Amino acid sequence: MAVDQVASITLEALRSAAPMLLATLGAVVGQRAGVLNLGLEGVVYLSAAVAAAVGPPWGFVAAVIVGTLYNLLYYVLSNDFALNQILLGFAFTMVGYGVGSQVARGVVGRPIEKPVVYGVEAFAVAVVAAVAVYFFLRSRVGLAIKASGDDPASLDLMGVDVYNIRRVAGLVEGVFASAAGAYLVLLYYGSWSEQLVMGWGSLAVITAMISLWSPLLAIAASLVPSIFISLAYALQRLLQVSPHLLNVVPYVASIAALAAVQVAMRKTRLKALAPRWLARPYIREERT
Amino acid sequence: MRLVQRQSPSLLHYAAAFLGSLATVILIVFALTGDLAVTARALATVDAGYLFRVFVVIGVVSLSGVVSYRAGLWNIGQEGQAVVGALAAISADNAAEAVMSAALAAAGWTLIPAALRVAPGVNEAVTTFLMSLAAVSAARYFVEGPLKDPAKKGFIATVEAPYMEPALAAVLLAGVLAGVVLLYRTRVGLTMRLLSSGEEVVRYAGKPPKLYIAATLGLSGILAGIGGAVEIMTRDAGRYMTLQQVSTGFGLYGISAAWLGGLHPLGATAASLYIAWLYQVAVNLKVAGLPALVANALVGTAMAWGLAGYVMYKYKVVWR
Amino acid sequence: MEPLLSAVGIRKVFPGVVALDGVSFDVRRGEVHGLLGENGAGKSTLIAILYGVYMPDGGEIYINGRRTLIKSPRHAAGLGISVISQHFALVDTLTVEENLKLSGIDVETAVKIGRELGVEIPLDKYVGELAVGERQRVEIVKALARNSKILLMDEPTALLSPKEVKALLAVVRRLAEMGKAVVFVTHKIREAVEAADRITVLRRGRRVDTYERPFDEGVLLEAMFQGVVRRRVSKSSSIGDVIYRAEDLSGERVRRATVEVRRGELVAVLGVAGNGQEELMALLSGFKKPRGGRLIINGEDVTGRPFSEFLRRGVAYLPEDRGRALAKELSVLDNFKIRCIQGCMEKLAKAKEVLDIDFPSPSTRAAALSGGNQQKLLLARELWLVKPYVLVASYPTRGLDVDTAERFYALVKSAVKGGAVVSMEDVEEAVERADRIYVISRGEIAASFTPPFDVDEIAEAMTT
Repeated sequence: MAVDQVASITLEALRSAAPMLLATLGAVVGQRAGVLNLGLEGVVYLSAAVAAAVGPPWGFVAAVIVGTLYNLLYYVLSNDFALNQILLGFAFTMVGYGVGSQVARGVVGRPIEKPVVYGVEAFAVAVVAAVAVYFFLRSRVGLAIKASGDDPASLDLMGVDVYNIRRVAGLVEGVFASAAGAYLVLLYYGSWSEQLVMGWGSLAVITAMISLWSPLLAIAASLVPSIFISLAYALQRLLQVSPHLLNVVPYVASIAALAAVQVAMRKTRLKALAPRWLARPYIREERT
Repeated sequence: MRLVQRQSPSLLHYAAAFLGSLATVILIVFALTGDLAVTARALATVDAGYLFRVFVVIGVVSLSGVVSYRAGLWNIGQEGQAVVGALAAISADNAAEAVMSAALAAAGWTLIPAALRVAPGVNEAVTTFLMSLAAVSAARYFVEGPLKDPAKKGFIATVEAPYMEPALAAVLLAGVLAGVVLLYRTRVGLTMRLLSSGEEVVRYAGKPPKLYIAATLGLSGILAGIGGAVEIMTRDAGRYMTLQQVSTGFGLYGISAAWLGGLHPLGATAASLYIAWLYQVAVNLKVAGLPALVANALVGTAMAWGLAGYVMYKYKVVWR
Repeated sequence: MEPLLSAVGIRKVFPGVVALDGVSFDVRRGEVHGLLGENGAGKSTLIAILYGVYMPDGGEIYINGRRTLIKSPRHAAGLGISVISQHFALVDTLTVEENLKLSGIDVETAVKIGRELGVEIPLDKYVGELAVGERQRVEIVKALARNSKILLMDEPTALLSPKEVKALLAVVRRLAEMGKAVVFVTHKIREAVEAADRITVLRRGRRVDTYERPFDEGVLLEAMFQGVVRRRVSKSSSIGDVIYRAEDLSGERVRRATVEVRRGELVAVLGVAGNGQEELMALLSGFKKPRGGRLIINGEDVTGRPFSEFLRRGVAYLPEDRGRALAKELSVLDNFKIRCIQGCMEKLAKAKEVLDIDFPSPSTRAAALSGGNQQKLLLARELWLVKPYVLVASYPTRGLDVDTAERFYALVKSAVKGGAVVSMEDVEEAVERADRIYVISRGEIAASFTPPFDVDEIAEAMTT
């Protein structure tokens, strides 16, 4: 392939890697706390819808507020009230689709005036965020989040409220995910339609797992789906393959990458990195 | 606020959850339409034949949920499995062949998440969900490609699926329901339920957990696939797929019915009737101008109530 | 002297069982107060209430004379109460220093206190790498660094070797000298007598009495068990050929273990916790596949075969982790059906009677049963119902009251057709019950003993 084609694919990949990285960082923090939030897809979708409906520049703020509150509600329901994490996440995604599509009904197809952002700038901002998350996870709150995901019973015994910590994680996750959603509409796509933002949140969930829950690895890992997404556009022009089949590729590639990573994890000591209580409900008075 | 285990779990709490869901639905509809008269009309208008058909489809998919969640396995890809089932139905010549090929196709679609769960232990919720997103794109390829109907000028759609009488579909539902109820009375069914307490317990009981995991996920996928096939075949008109209309949302509805029904086959079937009514309400609202995805919001909250019902069944909330 | 902490009339009820029934208890500054009782007497529940993990259903707590409601562990910590429990408040995947930071403890202060106590704190090591005794010492230093005035120690010697126990008891006395109020929970009379200034005995959720120095072990024993315990030393009369043999068995921890079981024999595997017993039992039962070595039942090599094969040959396995053998989410009846094929309702009713298992109905969730009753259900299913050929049991009497433990051994005699291999923690229990004792240390069989048993020789073998 010609050099400028590679360059344009790379630039394109970086543009889409920025929101992917942001959402992934959110998922990393949440999963580190032990919560497998499949509702992230709904959070991203809803925030994007709000951003589209309100329009720039306030749309960004509105999106983050709404998305974060929505995510926080998920955390309260799934932790304090012990509703099934996985299924509740699914429900939140479906409700997010429903409410989001209604909220953004008026702006379907209308182009949004967006600032010209080159791929590198956006990605650089996201990388800075990743580094910030890295240091955050080493702070006292960050250690508590890691403990909440590995051994919440001990954390509780230490006198740190597990439910509180998880809410903090939910807040951070919500901010990142909703920022990603707003970015997608205001800076990346520049318009809104019902199907546009689907899939980003889910891919972030899986990318967090692929990056072994490390914000620094997430920088590289978020390029995986992004490359496939931009590659899909490029290949469309090159090959005669149906664009729909190419849309399948990022999903299949991410699943394959996750499978590879998990197989490798089992064979080596890396298994220790997985949050041990991921997706397991924690109920303080559970008498086993 | 703490959650304390109940001394004796009580089914009354599922009734409470149902009422909670009902109240939420009424509130949402009112919030969306802002008009009491429109709300009342949306809630009361019912097309019996339509409702029956939707109920049957949701009933089948709900059993997919029951089978999976009772075993502690998290298949949330029913939407995609149903889409694959519908595609299989489209390419079949008659209803019987459609159901069988839908079962096969859905089993194939569930193979990857099942294999990944069995071998490296990859979380099946994530994989089935992503596969269901992928299914939509894959289906679009079939709509534009191999299954395209050349006779339809002006818009892109597949050939039609064979027709299935709603009565026949009901018989199918009854059969599947009976099958699941009987299954849980056998040792195989017991082992599937043991799975929810962990793979070790299954091995302790002397059975191979990996086989059971694969079989349960497969069965769950097959039921969802059959549901998708039945859905497209029982439509009065338009038994085809278009680029815009691929997924029908019945995956979500079936899952919600499973939870609202307490993960019990009979309960889920009963809850399916309620969910079918919610779908009717959403259709009524669509006629009033709201987007189709609003149905998701209504049903999603119903599922949240079902999940809450499960918690209330086991635990008591103590405020102190 | 006015007590620092005083609990009056504490009552706590769980689904199906009254854990504490009007218990009163107090502890003074500079005192070590021993809380003595057999397993299931309610000691751990009382501690959990004093630490804010459970809320009492009745009764009051007074701290420094003021009525207080302890709402959560965090609240308890704020009130100056620390707990050193069987479950450490330490996260394995973080270093000691990170754990200290998490608990809000100044690292320098902790190191200083450690030195005062005569203890070295390994800051950079991951908690997962530390031995049990080391972790416990970190816990104690944490408690002191938080300026705790009241220390609750729940069975602190449970996982320690005899040498570490001595070290701990010295630390406990030092704590009292420093002016702390220490509550020392144990089921071992000897330890309580050695460490405590006062001893309160609990039995079946009630307080029997509080005793002062000098202590009379006989009086304490009677208070704990309500009458002298009839310890029937029931040994086998006739022992036959070897029916089960494990040769050079190796796993992750276990190395080249050879164990033999003869017909009619009860073999004990004795060792300080953490030396590989759990793995050995899992390997012997066929539940876990060995990395090396052979398993031979009645002359036939069954190494590496699936667990179902072992079940078919009449091997029964009682794991120390009941979660392997019981489906907590399913009903009692469903759990029973794991081994029962026909007429299960009637058989379950019979078993309930014979073993005195307490549950409201067959459809009760297994998780709602108390630990003791869950164990009895397991015994009913794996021993009484199945009547196995070879029993492999991992700490089957741990956490059980003496009555139930007695029932277990009686059941082994009556229901097991071939022989049994049982892992134990208590030298006395092994000497009393076993026909042969294997001592396991660091994953290897260090020694094997046949009667007549010399308790000192055996204890020595355990500590090498």
